[in-house]
Amino acid sequence: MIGFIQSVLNILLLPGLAFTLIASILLAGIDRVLVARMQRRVGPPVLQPLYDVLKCLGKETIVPRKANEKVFLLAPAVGLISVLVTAMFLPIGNVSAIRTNADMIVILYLLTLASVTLIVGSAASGSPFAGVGLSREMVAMISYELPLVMVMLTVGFVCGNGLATFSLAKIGAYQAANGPLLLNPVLWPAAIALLFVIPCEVGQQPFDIDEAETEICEGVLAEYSGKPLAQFKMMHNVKMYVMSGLFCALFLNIQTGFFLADILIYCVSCVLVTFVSMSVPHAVTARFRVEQVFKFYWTVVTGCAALSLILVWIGL
Amino acid sequence: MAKIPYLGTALTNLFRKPVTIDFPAGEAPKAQPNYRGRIAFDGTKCINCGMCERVCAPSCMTRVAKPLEGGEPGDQEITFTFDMTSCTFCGMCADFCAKKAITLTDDYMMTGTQPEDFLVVGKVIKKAPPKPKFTPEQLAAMKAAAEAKKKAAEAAKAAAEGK
Amino acid sequence: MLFDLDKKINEAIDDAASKSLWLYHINAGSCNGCDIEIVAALTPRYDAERLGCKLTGSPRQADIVLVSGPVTLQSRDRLIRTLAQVPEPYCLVTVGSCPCSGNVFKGSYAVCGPVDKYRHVDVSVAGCTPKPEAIMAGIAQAAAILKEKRKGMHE
Repeated sequence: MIGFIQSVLNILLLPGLAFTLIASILLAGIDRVLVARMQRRVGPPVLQPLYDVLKCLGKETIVPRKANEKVFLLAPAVGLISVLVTAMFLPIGNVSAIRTNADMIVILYLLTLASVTLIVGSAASGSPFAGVGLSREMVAMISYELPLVMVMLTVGFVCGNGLATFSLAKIGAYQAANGPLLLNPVLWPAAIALLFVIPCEVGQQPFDIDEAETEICEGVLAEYSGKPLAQFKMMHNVKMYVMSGLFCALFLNIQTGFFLADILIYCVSCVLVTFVSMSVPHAVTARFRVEQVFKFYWTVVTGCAALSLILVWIGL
Repeated sequence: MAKIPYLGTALTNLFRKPVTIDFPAGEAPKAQPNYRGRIAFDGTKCINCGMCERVCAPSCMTRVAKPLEGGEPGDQEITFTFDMTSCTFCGMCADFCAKKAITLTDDYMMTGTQPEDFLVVGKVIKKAPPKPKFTPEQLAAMKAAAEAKKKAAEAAKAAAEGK
Repeated sequence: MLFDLDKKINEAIDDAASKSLWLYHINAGSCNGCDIEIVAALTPRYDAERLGCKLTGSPRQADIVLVSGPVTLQSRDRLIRTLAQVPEPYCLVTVGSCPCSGNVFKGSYAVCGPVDKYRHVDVSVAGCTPKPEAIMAGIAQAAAILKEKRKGMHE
């Protein structure tokens, strides 16, 4: 009975729903403030993403005449739920809301599902701008999926003792025994690859080719307004948290034995990962073109991931 | 790997003070010298020559004349209305104003919800010319009287010489 | 209690309506002077993002629509069509003298009059061009109006 209550609390409160929502909003807000500070601006309040989402909830929802109404309205909900479920698998220390034997494969599929909902939703909106955004989102997916899988495989190989493991709990246990994987020089190329995958997966500034507001009128979100838009914006925030949390789970899982200290370390490392992978590229670079993103991910990022995979494979 | 420009700048900026001005919360900064902002009109200096109206390209000003209430018959009250939503702030009216009644201030904060928020209104009172002391008839009579007096004097003089 | 929560959420949304202002900019035949000043309001010196401003690319996501330019014959229909796509509640803010009156272009055969001929203008910012501070003051004024509009929607 106590175990059941604990698992329910885990799902609803601490590593689960409530923590995810609060952390994602704070993380997105901190990211915006950091970008502003790097440009010598004051920046918005930290709760700005919350205001954005609430404001979108209060606005009129317009469904275009050409749109397929059901798909148009359901896609954002599915996307939001899929990323929220993804967040359940992320461990804080050694506690996670849901644990299975193949966490990483579920995470991979759910993250893809979130991107697919963007594609489906924009396809259903019947706008040419959304059509262009859709094709760009597909290009982005093709670009980052391969390095992401390779990074996960590499980490799985290192932690699985010869046999690849896809369980984040096992990876956490390995790191608790041998120290965080980021200290392993063989895995540094993989860590760099994952750091580059994060902004593209989230759709953050230099790689936000699918929502380029100055070129294609917000692209995939061109026809969205009101509540569906709020869901997509929230999905963006949660995705940001999920990706930085995934990096922490794979490379920076530090366990002290005290749960509160674990939470603190986890939060700090999430902010650090967000800063390095999202805020700095956002502040420093302008948006890449579609073929630049494609080329960059298939040469540099995939190369980094492959290097680590090969090094691990030959047993260094 | 390609060099990333501005990376150092961005990272050092994290520890520097923002350059943002404290405007919507604090006081608005002063405009630069010689800034041409909202028009100020001094009705006491204006001589109602109408030059400003002639040189204004977007014709942003209107002049309405009406009889002055409670004044002498013939006095006029002339209302100058400058519409700031029409103005290009070129300064021509101020340059052409002979008496420097129009000046461009440095007030640039012109926001409002109604057209009335943007009007600069000034009134000029144009007095009728002072009434002459004598009417033309009186003047003619006086002239005639003076002439007759002169003639009489001349006649008297001639009579005295002829003696 | 549930009823109270509903009221509180509504209040939070009203509050958020004045704190998150996404701008959509329509150029209705402007000379680009005002457009540059709008972008200048987002630069580090003025930093309109403090007020929650963000430029969006789609009118569907706009809270404040900034119109610049004297509304030319070519842009009139596009302006009306774009404004029809903005979800309620939104504020229409005109930037510069041109959309308020036509400025030096008034009377031209290619200019069809001020914006308020077609839609109700909430806030006008005069100036040719207005300084970024004035645009920000206009946006701040529009934020208060947005909150009132949002309150009026659910009452």
